[in-house]
Order: sequence, then structure tokens, then C-alpha cells
Amino acid sequence: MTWHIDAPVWEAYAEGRLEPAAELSVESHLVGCPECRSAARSQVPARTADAVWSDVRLTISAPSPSLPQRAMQRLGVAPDDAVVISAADAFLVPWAVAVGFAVVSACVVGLAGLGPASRDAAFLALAPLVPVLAVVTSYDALDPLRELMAPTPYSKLRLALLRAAAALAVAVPATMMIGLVVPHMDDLALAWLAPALGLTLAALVLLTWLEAWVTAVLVASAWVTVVALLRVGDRVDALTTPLGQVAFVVAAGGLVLALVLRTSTLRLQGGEL
Amino acid sequence: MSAIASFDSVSKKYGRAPALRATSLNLHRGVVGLLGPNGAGKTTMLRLLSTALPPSSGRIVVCGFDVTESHADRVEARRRIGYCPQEVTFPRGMTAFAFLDYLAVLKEWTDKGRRHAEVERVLDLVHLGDRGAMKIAKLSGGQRRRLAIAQALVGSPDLLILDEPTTGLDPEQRASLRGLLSGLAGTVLISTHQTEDVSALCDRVLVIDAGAIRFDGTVTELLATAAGRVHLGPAATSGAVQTWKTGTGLVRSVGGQPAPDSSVVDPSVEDAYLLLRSERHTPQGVNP
Amino acid sequence: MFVQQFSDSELLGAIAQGDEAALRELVERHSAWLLLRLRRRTPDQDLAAEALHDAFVAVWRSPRSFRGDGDVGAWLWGIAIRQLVSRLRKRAQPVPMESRMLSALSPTVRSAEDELLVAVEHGSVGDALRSLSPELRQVLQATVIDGLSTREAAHLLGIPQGTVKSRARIAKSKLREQLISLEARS
Repeated sequence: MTWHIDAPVWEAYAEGRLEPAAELSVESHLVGCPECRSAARSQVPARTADAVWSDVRLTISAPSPSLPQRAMQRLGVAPDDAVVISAADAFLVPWAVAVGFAVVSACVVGLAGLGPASRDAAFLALAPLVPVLAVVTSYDALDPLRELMAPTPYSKLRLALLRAAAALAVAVPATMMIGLVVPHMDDLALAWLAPALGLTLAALVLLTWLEAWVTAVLVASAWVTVVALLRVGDRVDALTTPLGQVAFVVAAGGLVLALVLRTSTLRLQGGEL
Repeated sequence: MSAIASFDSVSKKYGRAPALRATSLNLHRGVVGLLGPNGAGKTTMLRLLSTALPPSSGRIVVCGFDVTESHADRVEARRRIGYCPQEVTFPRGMTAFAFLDYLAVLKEWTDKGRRHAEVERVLDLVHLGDRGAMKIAKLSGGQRRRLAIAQALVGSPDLLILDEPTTGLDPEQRASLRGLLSGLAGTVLISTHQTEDVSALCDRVLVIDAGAIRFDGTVTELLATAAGRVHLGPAATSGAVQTWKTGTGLVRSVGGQPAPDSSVVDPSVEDAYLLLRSERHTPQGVNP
Repeated sequence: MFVQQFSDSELLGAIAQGDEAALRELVERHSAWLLLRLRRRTPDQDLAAEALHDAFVAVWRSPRSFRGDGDVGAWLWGIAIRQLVSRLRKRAQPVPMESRMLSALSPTVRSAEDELLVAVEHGSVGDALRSLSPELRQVLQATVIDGLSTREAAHLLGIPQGTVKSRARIAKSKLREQLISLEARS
């Protein structure tokens, strides 16, 4: 190309005063001429490129919501809550733990060749622990960041509950699956829910004092011991009677109270919620 | 001038071992350097002030809120604190931007547009403006250090607490960090074991050793404690705390009885610090 | 890094590696003329600025859709004009341009442009164009110069697709007639 766009043509072009053929000519020329593209900068305010860049940069470096984040938002989770839940993909570990433990539990209950009474006992011992383990791992998942998170004003109780809710969103259906997959479990398919509620809350309360893994071991061994003792005494059905179920719900209510009291009156603690 | 933060007989024990003995002090506007050997209690003091760690006894007040009093007061104090721990274990899969975005949510930046603009601002402050979209795992050590500092800057806190911020930075990055810190409006408390940081940056120096503050004063005051006690001569001074042969062939001695043919030279912050350390049982210049 | 020394296509290579400085340089080089040209396609200045923003974001997300043949400038314009169309289509919400859309820019657009360019520089097309009505010229500009599909041109100009097709047909035949008669006269 031997010619370049001169100042009067630039002005006429920018103001739309060029006649059609000239306008066409300018545009065709621009596409292939770096000198004239560079000269175009004098036709716009000096900070145009800077302004464009600052907006572009904000868009490209802001994380576009991940698939789980978008799914959460579609389910009505607030965008900043979704950021908290999905930080560092921390929800994946508890989900894996929940599904893994649910599969193991289903195998133990369904394939170990237990008699009907022992099978029911095994189911009631293992199923409520699926959500407990999921919640405890969800609490533990961002442990490396705890030192950074502790001195932030964000409510650590809210953080723990958000994470717990995300963990339960997978743990509860996973546990349901055990009851559906293993034959003869229909009558117990929902009986594990009340104990699971109580145990999960107990774990949350314990987490305000103890390390995550200590909490998990403590809750799991205590629960398995209780069910084993009931089995020895042939009283496992006490767990599934209406009275037994109501007792768990009442206990859960008490634990919620304990959790609220514990987190609101808590003096500074290492494992502060 | 009222203090931004204060310690009132604050102590901390891990089990039965005292990490910080009963300490009282006030922090005002400006950069305060906390100098001391490893294990002296620097990190303990910073964690106490940041509310990451509860004291065993005493009262800590930040911006008028007693962090040892109630949860509500502690939350109010936390809204005004930025804290960068000595070591940060990053979630490696996250991008620098996502990491800061997450911490900004925890610092109550709920509006997405304003939060993202704030994240960009602190990225620019630590010269990581063009690294926002990069995975943390791909950042260099110095860049990660600066990212850790950036999260403490979110929201321009009144009280900025940085534990060994210059570790892992090259001289150029250290200089640019100094420029950044000296331009901040609030109170900055940094711990360091690099005496150049203190002389270059700090309005006030605290020297801490074995869980107690041995010195509290300005850099000039710290230098004054070593005046006339650093010598340069052909031979080492007897009883010196530290001696070394300099590039000119002469021996520099800190403390001790000077040899007759040696001359007195201006002390550095490091000299003063070494002398203080050697006299751990006779604290000087400590203002309660 | 001395990004200023790199060619546009080298910049795209660096952008593909996640280099923000390279994108910044591309923005520096191309913002002005793209903005001026976008403003010739819409009276709404904000919309033009938004389309430009979207275009660079699209480049960042799929820099590899540039095939390495032809000019980066032409490729960028193709993205920018499509972002404008997409903004016009859903004024409330920007639609992220998909990479297959970006790579759909066929080299035939360039050759048509080249032919026309040669013709314009020879002068005869100028006279022929002048004889067309503004409506016909607009359609020709959208479909031939900007390389838009009938559907895209319809969105850009705010007229039905059928109208675009018929106007393009009329414009082309008129242009041909004019060129032939001009040739015959000279």
C-alpha cells in the first residue's frame, strides 16, 4: 500500500462525513495497515486504550464461576456464599468421602452375609456416620488456610454450616442410596436420618474444641459402640421406635443450642468456629 | 494521640512454657518493627494481636475494641485488621485472583463488582497486576509471598500485621515493599530478622528476646545505645560480642575493650541489636 | 518483557500462554481504530465500547482461533463486529462468543475485501457505490466488508433476514450494472 490516511480524512471518517466509497476505502486500508491503525490513536481520547484495558483485565482475571458455583447459584445460593463453599474445590473431598463411605457401608450391610438383625444393626451403625464424616472433612478441607481465615470478620459458624450444608447435599442422597440398593432395608430407609442429625450436630459442637480427625474418631467409635451394645442386648429396634427417633430430634435441638452458645460466648480458641 | 492497638499485661503460655511474658505496650500510627531472634516470641505477639491466637492473660484492644472481651468486639476489631502470617499454605489449584476473591468475601466484601475492583487494587499494589489469572502453583516464591501480603491489604486495614514480609523477596522487591508500606496511612507492625528493614523503614523498633521486650524506641535511640562501642582496627577487640574482618583488611569489633590503635565507628542497627542481645539481663530503654 | 517488539500474531501466541502483558499490548495497538470503526456501525457509543471490551475478552479466552493466515487486524474486526451484533441481539446480556464462531471467519471474506479494495483504489467502484441508496449500501457493507452472515447483518441493521437477502441481491446486481456501464463509457 502506498498511501496513508491523512488528518482531514481521519476527522471526516470519525465524524461519519466521508462519502461511502471513501469510507469503504479507509476501512479496507485500516485492516492491513499497522501505521494507520497506530495513527488512529490520535482520533480518540488519550486514555481510551487504558480504560478499555482496565475493564478487560477486570473481566478476564475475575474467576468465571465454575460449574459447581453456577449450579449452586441456580439452586438459590447467594454468589458470595458460592465463592465460600467452592473455594479451592474444598467441597470435592467431603463429597468423595461421603460417596466412598456410603459404598463401603452398602457393601458391608448387603454383602457380608449377616443375619437380618445384625444387618439392620450394621446399617444403623454405619449410615448415620456418612453425613458425620462428610461434615467433619468439609471442616478440615481448608485447614491450611485457617491461619488466614481466623482473623477475618466472617462468621466461622456460618462458614462451617455452609460447608456442612454443601457436604450434606451429597452425603444425604448417598446414604439414601444404601437403603435403596441393599434389599430388605425399606423399613429402615429413613430411620437413620434422626440419629444422623444428632451425630452431625454433636460433631460440630466437638469441632469447637477438638481437631477434625479426633472428632471423627470419637463420634464414630461412640456411635458404633452404642449400636453394638444394643445389638448384644437385642434392643436395636429401640433406635427406630417413635420414642427413640423423637429422642434424637430433641437431642439435636439441645446440640443446636449448645453450638450457638458455644460460638457466641467463645473466648478466643485455636479451633474457634 | 490515642493508640490504634494496645497490650495490657498480655502473656501467652503454650502448655507451661511461656512464649510471651506479661507485656504492655501501645501502638500508634506509623511503621513499627519487631526485631528478635527465632523463637523470641515475635510470631506469638503478632498472632495475639491479629486475634488468631487467644492470650493466656491480659487485655488486647484494637481500634477501641477489646478482642479478649466478647465475640462481637472481636469481630469489630477484625474488620480493621489485616494479617499476613509467616507461612501461608496456598490452595495450589486456585488462581491468584480467586484466592484474593475468597479472602475478600471472608472480609465481608459482598458486592461482587466492588470486591473484584478491590482485588485488582491490591494485586496492583504488590505488582501482581498481570498475574491475577495465573494458578498459584505457577507463581514464584517471591510472587507467592507478595500474594500473601496482598490479602492482608484488602480493605486498607487500620492495623496491618506482617510476619516476616521480606523473607523470600529479592532486594528490588524488598525495596518496592518498603515503598508500599511507608505510603500506608495506618499502623503497620512488621516482624523481621533483617536489620536493614528496620533502619530503612521503621519509625519505632521493638527488640524482643525470650518472650520479653528488651528495647522500645526510635531507630536513632537504638543506635545511641551502641554509640562508641563499635571499633575498627588492625586487631579484634578483646571481649567483643562479634568481630569480622572487613573488605579493607581492618577488623570491625562490636562491644568489648578496644585496642589502643583502633578507632570508633558509627554503629549500625545490627550492631546495636547484637549488643542488646548480649546484655539480655540488663534491659535498656524499655518504656512501660 | 519487551512486548512492543512482537508482531500481532506473536502477541496472540503469548496470550495463548496466559500472558496478560501481551493482551495489554494488543489492546494498546488496536483499541482506537476498532472503536472508531465500531462507532460507524452503531450510533450508540456505549454499545461500541462494550462490544470492543467483549472482543478483547473473547480474544483472551480463545486466542488460538486465529489460524495464522491473513491479518490479525481483519480477524480482530471480525470478532468485534460479531460482538456488536451479539450485544444488539441481547442488549441486556452479552453473549460470550464461542471459539467455533471465531474460527468461522473464512478467508473468502478477505479476498472479497481485497478485490473491492483494488477496485475502490481504481475509482470505478466509488462511482458505482455512490449510485446506491444508503439502505442498499448498508447491507453491502455488512455482508461484504464486515463479512457477516445474513442473520448477523439482520441483527446489526435491525431489519428482517429476508430484507437483507433481497437488498443484498438488488445491491449486487445494481453494482454490476453500474460497473458494466462505467466500463462501457470509458
